[in-house]
Amino acid sequence: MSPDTQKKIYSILQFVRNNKHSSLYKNIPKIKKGGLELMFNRIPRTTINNLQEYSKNLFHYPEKDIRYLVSEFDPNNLKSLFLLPQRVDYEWSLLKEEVEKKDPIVAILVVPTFWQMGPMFYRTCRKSKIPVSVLSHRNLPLTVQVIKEIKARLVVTTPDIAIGIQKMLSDEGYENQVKRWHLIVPVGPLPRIPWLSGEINIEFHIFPGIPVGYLPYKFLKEKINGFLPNPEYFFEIENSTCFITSLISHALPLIRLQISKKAKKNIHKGKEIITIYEPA
Amino acid sequence: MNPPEAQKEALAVLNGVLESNYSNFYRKKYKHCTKFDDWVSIPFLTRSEMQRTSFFDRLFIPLGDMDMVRPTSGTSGRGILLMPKWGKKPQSYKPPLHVKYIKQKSLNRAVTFSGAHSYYANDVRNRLGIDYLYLDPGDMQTSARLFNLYKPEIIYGFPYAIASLVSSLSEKSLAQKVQAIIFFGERCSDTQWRFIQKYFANAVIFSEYASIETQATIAGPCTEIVRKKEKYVHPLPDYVFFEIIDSSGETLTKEGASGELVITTISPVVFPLIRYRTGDSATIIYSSCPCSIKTPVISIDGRIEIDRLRIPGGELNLAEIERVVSQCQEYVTGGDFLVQYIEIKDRYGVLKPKVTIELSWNKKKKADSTVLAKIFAQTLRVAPQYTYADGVREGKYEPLTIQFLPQDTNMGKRRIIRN
Repeated sequence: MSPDTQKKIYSILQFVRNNKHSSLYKNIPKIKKGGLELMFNRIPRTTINNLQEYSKNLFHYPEKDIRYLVSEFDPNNLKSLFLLPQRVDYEWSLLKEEVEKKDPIVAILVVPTFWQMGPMFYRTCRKSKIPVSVLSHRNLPLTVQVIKEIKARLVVTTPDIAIGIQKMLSDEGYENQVKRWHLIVPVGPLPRIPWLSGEINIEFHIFPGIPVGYLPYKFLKEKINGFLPNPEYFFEIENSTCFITSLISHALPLIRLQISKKAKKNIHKGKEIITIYEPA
Repeated sequence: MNPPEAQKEALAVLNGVLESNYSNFYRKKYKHCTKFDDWVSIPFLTRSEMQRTSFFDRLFIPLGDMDMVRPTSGTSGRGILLMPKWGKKPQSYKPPLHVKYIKQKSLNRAVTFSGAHSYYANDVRNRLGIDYLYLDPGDMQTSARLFNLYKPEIIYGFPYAIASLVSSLSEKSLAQKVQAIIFFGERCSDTQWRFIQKYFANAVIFSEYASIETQATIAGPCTEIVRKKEKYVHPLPDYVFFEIIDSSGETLTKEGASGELVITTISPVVFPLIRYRTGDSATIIYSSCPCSIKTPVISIDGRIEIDRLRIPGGELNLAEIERVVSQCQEYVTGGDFLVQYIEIKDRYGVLKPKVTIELSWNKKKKADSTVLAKIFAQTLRVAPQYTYADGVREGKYEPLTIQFLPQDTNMGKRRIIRN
């Protein structure tokens, strides 16, 4: 653990341990400054069930200026559905890099409305002065018409929806209209990525709207099975189990949250790659 | 009908669009107009004109300043239309009544059925401290579960979606926690209104009028309307200069008069609408109101159901079209049809009616749509001694066209649609 990482985690621990609004992390032991690396393993681990239990009362959360995300990608999983806070000023840094690369003209988001990702998408794109279009995943012909008419080049969506859009664009002679796809997938094994025009970048989310890793196009082309960790989190892998700890002050900092039952860490071209074989 | 300052603002908008460095749209549209001092002589703007113009040619601000692009749904059969959206407020911005109410009551948990509220989220958060949770009107079971988890105090949405939500809620008592409901997007029927009032008994209901074309809420209730629990609205004079016209385009001003709502946007929007025919029917309920808003109280009655349409030399009459279609039963199935009416400019800039009749076609019978169109035009009377073909021959109308739709097409109610 680098000194910089230790400093960041220490700061987060101080914040959550003494927090007057929340008792979620009340059992974190007192840690002296500089003693984090030795004491880290004594910090209790968190599971998604812990978060669900805690979220039964939404007034538990430490931050005031928040909005809510959902815990499930699949709206049919209603029993395990709960709400998680996100800071209203959260910057979706992984998307920001995409938006600022080349001018997408208008950036399009087509994900299930249920995922609550519209505001973070809007905020991130508008900060870079890119107009947006937030479209329903239930009307792909409409989405395709919009893409064609405004000559959109960047679409943020899921692999399944992307397949549908690409097929319709190809059928109408607009096969190469979209230059960049930014696909959102749940953290886990890399799903089968269909052929799509242009570049494909993949983001892995622990919950919809909470990205923990990304796979840029050049690594996808090299068939890397895994992702580059999001710098907002510290990853630890112990006995193949993967845990993450927030390095920035998220509205709900995650402290040693288990995200996978089976995972591995590798190095590829000097970059750390996390591969998740089985999500938690 | 409109306060004097609204008329001034409308003229200022008109001058502004004619001098714009960004878009030529109105300069092209008004190419043959010689005077602009008589408001009622300014040509109307229609949806089909906007559809025929590229989205980017309709932007009156730099692209990067625009916040959002929104499409209409295209479910009305009129094709989609893309419209821009901008967060800028008028200089004399007064928040809608529901905003004042929410602030007064310190409400801060809201659910919305509109994905476009992504755009509002940060702005509303900053001004009012409201959080939105987004509900999908296509999945009421999940929406109800989120509603149960979030326990909102405010609901924004379409009347049908809110009414459907009630039946999916497992804990009906949560509806009692709702203190404000804001309708938009469609007309609320009397049945829906009573149903929603009954289940959300503690909620004040604000019925607002906005559409993707208008790019903002342009009409809303006052304290008087809310107090009387009515679903009427005032056109908001900071946002719109409005007219209600009859089928011949004449402005109506008397209480009880019904016609088509025509609007001119005077608040900052990316694409200013000048005398835009909304296709919505409205009725003047009260010409004045005890509140401070200086526009009449109107009801928005829904989409125009036209059964007759005045055209040069006569009128298109639904009953007459039915008579003509019934004479072609050999070729069509069901006898259902849809009449699409637009106006096209000829090379001299003169607007000419163009009629397309869409028919559900019997595939077993050979039919040539061009031949059938000629027969229709010769048979269709627009005046006792004058047919559509006469009008084409005299250069008054564009040739009538027939479009065959697949046999199983659901034509909906027989009607004339003016685009």
